Amino acid sequence: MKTKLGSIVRIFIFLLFICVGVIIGILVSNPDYFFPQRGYCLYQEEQLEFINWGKQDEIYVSQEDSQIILDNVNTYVREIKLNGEITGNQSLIPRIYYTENPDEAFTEEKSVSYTMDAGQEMIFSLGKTVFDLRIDLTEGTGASLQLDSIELNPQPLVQKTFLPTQIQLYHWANDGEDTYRSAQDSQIILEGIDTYVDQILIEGKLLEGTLDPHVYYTSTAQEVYSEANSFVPDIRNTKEGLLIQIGKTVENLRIDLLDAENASLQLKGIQVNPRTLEMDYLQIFFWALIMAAFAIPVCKLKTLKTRISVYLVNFKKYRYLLQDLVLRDIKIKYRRSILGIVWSVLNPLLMMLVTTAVFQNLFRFNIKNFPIYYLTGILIFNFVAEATSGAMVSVIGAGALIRKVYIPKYIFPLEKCLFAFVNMAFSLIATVIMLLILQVDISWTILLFWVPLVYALIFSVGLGLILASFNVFFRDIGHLYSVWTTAWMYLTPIIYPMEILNDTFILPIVKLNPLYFFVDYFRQVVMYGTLPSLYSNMMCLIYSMVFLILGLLVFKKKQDRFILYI
Amino acid sequence: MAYAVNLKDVSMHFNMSKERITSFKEYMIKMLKKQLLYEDFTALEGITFDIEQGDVFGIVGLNGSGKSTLLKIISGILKPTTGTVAVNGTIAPLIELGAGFDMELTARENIFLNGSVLGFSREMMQEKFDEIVEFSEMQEFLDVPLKNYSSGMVARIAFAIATITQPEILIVDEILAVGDFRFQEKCEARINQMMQGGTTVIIVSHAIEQIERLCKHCMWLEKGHIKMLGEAHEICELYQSCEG
Repeated sequence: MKTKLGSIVRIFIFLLFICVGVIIGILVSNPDYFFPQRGYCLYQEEQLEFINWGKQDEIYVSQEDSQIILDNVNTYVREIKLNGEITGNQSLIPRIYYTENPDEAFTEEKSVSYTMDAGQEMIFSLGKTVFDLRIDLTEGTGASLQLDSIELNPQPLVQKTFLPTQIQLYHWANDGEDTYRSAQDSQIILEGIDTYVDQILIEGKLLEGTLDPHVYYTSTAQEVYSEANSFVPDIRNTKEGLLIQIGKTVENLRIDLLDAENASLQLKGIQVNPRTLEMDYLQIFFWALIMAAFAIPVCKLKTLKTRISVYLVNFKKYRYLLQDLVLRDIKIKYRRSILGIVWSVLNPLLMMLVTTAVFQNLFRFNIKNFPIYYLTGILIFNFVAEATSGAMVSVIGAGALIRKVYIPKYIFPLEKCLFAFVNMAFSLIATVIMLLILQVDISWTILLFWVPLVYALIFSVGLGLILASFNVFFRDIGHLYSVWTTAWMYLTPIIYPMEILNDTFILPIVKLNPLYFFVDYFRQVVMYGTLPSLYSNMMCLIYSMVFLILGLLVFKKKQDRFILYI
Repeated sequence: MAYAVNLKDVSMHFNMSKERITSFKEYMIKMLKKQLLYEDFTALEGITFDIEQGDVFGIVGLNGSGKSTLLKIISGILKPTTGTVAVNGTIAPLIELGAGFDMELTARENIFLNGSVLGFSREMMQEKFDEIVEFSEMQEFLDVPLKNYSSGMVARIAFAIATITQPEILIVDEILAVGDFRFQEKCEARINQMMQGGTTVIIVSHAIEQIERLCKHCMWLEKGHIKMLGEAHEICELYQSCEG
């Protein structure tokens, strides 16, 4: 019924889908904005690891090399607050070491020194995403510390906006509406901040010249600016303006511009702790495209419910066939090999030995447990590659059957995916063996090992259905796909850590790769012992369901014409 | 009377384009050069008829008149270009000397494969296994790959499996042509038995006497159109007189 109203409704639905795609794209590229890490952590005295401390009653006495270790922090740490007090008059000079990866060791490079006096509140700013924390007390033998707990990020990030009227500008000439020209000793002063400042955003544009800012801060209202409380910050030019990294709890802030005469700055306001939304256009385009692909058949969909029930009945009738085909494939694969099933375990182990020998030294500092890192990655990748390649040729291969009797054709790609799943189960044994040999610490999260595997299965079935359909009509898809799987392996972080991709153009492509999410999820539960976030789960679910539904739609549309081409 | 098979205005068109395009590159090139030809071949046109439940229905016609195509449409292998097909009941198709066998597998394995293709579990096929072997008289050749069988032997096994599973609609396409007279007798006896059980049987054959003997109604197909539709003995007489 192609009435005019019908067309309008169709166009509306199509646009609606694209909007949903855009929203998903924005959601996905700003995980911290929409899924903020809660960040707050409380470590009670019992949960802290005290090394080289003496203890008198409830009071800890420091010795040489005293340390306090916080394990498995795994979050962005703005501030560290020690709840307790220094009894006695010896002060502590803490040095905080941190790691950014679970397999890293504490090094000098990643440590910050602080000074602390008795009677002062023990709060240290850090401003980094860390995995483990260690507080070393150097030069503080004999200090007594009473410690109840340590809190991370005790206060939430507060946002403040300063209008031009609230900003004090010294030695600036007003060039026009909101443009200012700097002279010698120009200063920008913000007063009454009174919170932890992560970054400040100078809204506007630097029209001419360069700024070389030097930041002075005070922690209380009565304090005076001093050289001791000053630093040269990291400054970044963004679309909204100039982003300056601070990373301290301050009361007042003064930005001195030395040697920056005649710079022209457009100033519309200053934001403390700005919340910015990044538009990753690649992600947005990708999701808009996927949702548009959905919209096309949905616009023509009528009786969904009855069709689904018909499919379920059909599936029940043919489940014996599915079983039979999987068993037959297993028999054929392992029939005449001496090692047989053992080979499914041995192959990944041997590949792991070779790859480890080659790559372990390269990534020594980034990946501590390379064998497991590699095995988890290659397990999922091999499964998806095998399942989709097998599914791709399955319909053509079953041509003889399809030509003679009615069979629901989706059984064939589905069967190949299940067969690959069974093979992967055997390869899992290889991973378990390595976990035992290397005595890796595992946590209860390993019980969730099957979750990413199921996600990957659903994804493979969807992709397999699409490939199977196209391969019937265009036989050269097979060649193209084998090239793609090679490229795919390098686009998934299997043999390399994600860090080496920083600041390359490949990084956003890898972040679009569904296998990246599945592999990451798998590593999180098996290797790192962390519970994957809502974001990880959402991405895995979206990718697998999107491809499954796409696969079903494409396959269903094309399947009636298969018989003419096989 | 309830209908087992109901066809309404069915037509089947095929694209007989001289060059078959099998690669993506070729497709894009031809599309851009506007050389995508479509040569239409009409295998069936305007087919409308019913088959009552429990009927034994014969289909006759010259080679190439569209008989096998029609059977494929009824059994769901082909989807008609236009028109609707309504089928009431489970189908066991024996089309063009095959029944969905994997030639690499042995007879034993194929029995179970075929069983699951028709929707039966291994246990059920296990129960019927001996019956099937007895009917087809293939005891010594059970573990020989089917590719080594003669067409007569294949036909025996196919017919045995298809009928054991007691389908509601049995489609027999020229498969009886390869059997010896003893086998033909056995098959006719089995078909009669099924008729009494209420099974609908659709037979395609060139042996007109067989059609006359077995069938109640008959259809004469010529070049994709229904030439005649009615009582079996009427149509068979006319068909023979035309060809005679």
